[in-house]
Amino acid sequence: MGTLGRLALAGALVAAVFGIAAFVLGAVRRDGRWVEVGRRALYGVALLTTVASAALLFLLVTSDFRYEYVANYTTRDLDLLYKIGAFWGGNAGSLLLWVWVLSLLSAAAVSTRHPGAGRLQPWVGTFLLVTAVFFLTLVNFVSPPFRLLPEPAAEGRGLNPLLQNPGMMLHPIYTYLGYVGFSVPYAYAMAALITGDTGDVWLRVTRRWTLLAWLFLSMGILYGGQWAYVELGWGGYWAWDPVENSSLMPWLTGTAFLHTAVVQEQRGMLKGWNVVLIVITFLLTIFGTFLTRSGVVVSVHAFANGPLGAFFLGFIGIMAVVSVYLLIDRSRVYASPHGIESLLSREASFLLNNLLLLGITFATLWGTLLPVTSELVTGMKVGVGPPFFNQVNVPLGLALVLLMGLGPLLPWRRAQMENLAHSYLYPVAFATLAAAVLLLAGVTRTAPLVGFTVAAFAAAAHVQEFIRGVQARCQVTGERIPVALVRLISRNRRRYGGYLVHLAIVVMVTGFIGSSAYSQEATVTLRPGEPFAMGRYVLTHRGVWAAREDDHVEVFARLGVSKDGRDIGVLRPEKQLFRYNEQPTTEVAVLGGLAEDLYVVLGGWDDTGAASYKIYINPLVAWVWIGQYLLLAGTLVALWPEPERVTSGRRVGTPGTLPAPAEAGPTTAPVTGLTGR
Amino acid sequence: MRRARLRIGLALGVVVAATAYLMVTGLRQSTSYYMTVDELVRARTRYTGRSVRVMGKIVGETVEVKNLGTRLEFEVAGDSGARLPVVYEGIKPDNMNDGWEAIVEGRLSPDGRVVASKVMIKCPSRYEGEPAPPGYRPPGGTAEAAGKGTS
Repeated sequence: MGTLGRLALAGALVAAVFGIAAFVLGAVRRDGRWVEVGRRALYGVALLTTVASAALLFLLVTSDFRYEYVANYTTRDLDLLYKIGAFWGGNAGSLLLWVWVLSLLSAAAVSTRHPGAGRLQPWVGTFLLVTAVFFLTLVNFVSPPFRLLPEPAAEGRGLNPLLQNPGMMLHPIYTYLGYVGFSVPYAYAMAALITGDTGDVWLRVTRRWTLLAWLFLSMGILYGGQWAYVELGWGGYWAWDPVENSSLMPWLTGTAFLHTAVVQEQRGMLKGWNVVLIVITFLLTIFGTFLTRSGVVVSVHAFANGPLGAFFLGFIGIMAVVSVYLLIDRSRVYASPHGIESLLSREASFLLNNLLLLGITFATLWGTLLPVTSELVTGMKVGVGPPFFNQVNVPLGLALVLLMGLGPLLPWRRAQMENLAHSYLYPVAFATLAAAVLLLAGVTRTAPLVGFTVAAFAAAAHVQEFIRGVQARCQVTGERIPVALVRLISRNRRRYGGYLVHLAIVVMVTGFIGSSAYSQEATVTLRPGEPFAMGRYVLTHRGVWAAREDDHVEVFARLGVSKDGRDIGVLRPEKQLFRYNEQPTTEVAVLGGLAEDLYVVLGGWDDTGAASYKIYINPLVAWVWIGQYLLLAGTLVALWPEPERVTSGRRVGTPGTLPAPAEAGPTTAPVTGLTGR
Repeated sequence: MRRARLRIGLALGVVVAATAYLMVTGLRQSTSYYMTVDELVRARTRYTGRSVRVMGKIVGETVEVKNLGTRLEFEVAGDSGARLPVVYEGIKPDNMNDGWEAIVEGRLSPDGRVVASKVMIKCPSRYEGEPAPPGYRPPGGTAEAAGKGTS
């Protein structure tokens, strides 16, 4: 099996190099036959990486401890789910996963034929295969997953218990799909530059890819936060850790691209800028993989130090140079027929949105890399902690939420003052009311008060958009309100899907503000029967017990909880002592509700039955996860292919005359193999 | 057109300036020095009272857990064998094992101890594929004891 896997990976590398040659030949000679050969080679790469992945999974599931990778990350009696999860538990496996996903997505990308994209296709294939060659080189020579041990191990080392959590199955997969998914838009952008075809074909084709990648990355980041929250036991879900930051940065630039892509579609502007954004996003995904998989910045994620770093930096460098060269060389092809006419216009709001997103990205990158750059420049390693990131990113983030409320109500080109007053009247009134209510309720600190008020404004602006849309439909068609709402969304999926995502962000931001500004924590030691009052809760320690499980001993405590004098349940935080790992793992206990989470960590105990606890009250955390699913729903609405309609296909570059044109661009054929998840 | 450009330029300039200002003030507030135990011990007086982030190996025999696991005292050692005492008020991390790398963030107090606000443990080779040492035996028992048969 291992031999098969090794051969498959070697074959995939050969096929990928051959495919590049065929695609380039086909593109230069304008010869469709060579392009077809390249396409087949790419399918070959997809097939061979699938074989290699299947082989590795087989070895993991059958616990074949002749193989180093299997011995390093699994044990015989590990849960089947986690044996599979060990596929991406280490470097070699996760790089193989990367190239496997990439080749499947590439196959999907080159198999769908888009009208007008014929000239782009060979270059798209070339750039996808170049990325694949890089990762295939790594899994063939630098970090091979099928390496044999000098002698078979009797038992493996097992998977870190921290990773044995269902969230850890979802988070890496989603994050990877997100990272890898951005390779396709990048390949299209590069193809557009090479062919000089920077019109809307590449943008139209890649919009759905980008949105899909963006969705996966969003889910990956949020599932990662959930995992950290329930598994790491420090009471939070985000710590501005280098690895977290490295997944956030491409998300931010991808978000920026999703917005300015609309400007290019509607007004034919910012063509070059969009290419720049996609290039940055792609390079940041590679960089994120590098940060996660090398030891360049010390993080709570334990890193391996290896030759991987040099390879990654080399690849990023080469791709950056090629991209920048093409951008400069082809700069004449993306001149725009229009300029921005007014600061009070939707185009200008998109520009500001981009600048804020890039500002957050830049600050995050700066803070993340400071230990590395400061050492290079001064020889002293200096780093910054979460206070730095909060200081910079919280105000910029709130400005972004404010803009999110302002932008959708602005017309394209130029706004008239009296229209604006009319548009913003209700949202401003609602935000003022919200601020007053919050003040009365005791929210007096400036930062959270401003934050909640801004969130209320943005929410009201979007709700108003929905109401206006429904009203307009009702008047024209005489439909009932629910029918009108459903049809409004389904006839303008991109726009209202986007608005749903905006609302999701508002919901999440509300959760961020509540849980960061108003969390409380306490450390206590309690004897059996002793109560402890915190907030509206009284927690009574009942005692400590031990239970022997299959492969570990569980020590757990029981805490009776009452809220406002009513018993609401028993919390059971525990520590598990595993056989194969010296370290115990802590399992937190959470009693959650919409208003707040009561979050308890067991610290230690003694033989009298006394125990120490760390107790957190985290307000509004649930809203972060509610927002996550709303974001999923909104993105799916925006992704769902619209039925072909006669009314679609507004010519790009015709100034929108409506205050808010329906953003139903020409539809693309659904990408097979990608929809219907 | 020209006035619009100017206004937009101003608006963008404000965002850039605000970002720069926030970054500069943020850097002043939360900078800490990253170093190894050896580096810190060599320049102890220079860093007294400063925020530091120190990497070193946990000396297993010095780990003392007090107050039922809510106060932790231990020492980390550098490659030269120099040692640095650490005090941490908080829940003991799960994996305080001898010889594991710890990253300690906190202040260096005048008595030469680091009063930590955060203790992170790097697990060796558990997330990442460093080659296993030859003849590797899993921790927590011999291979025979570990061979439970497939279940």
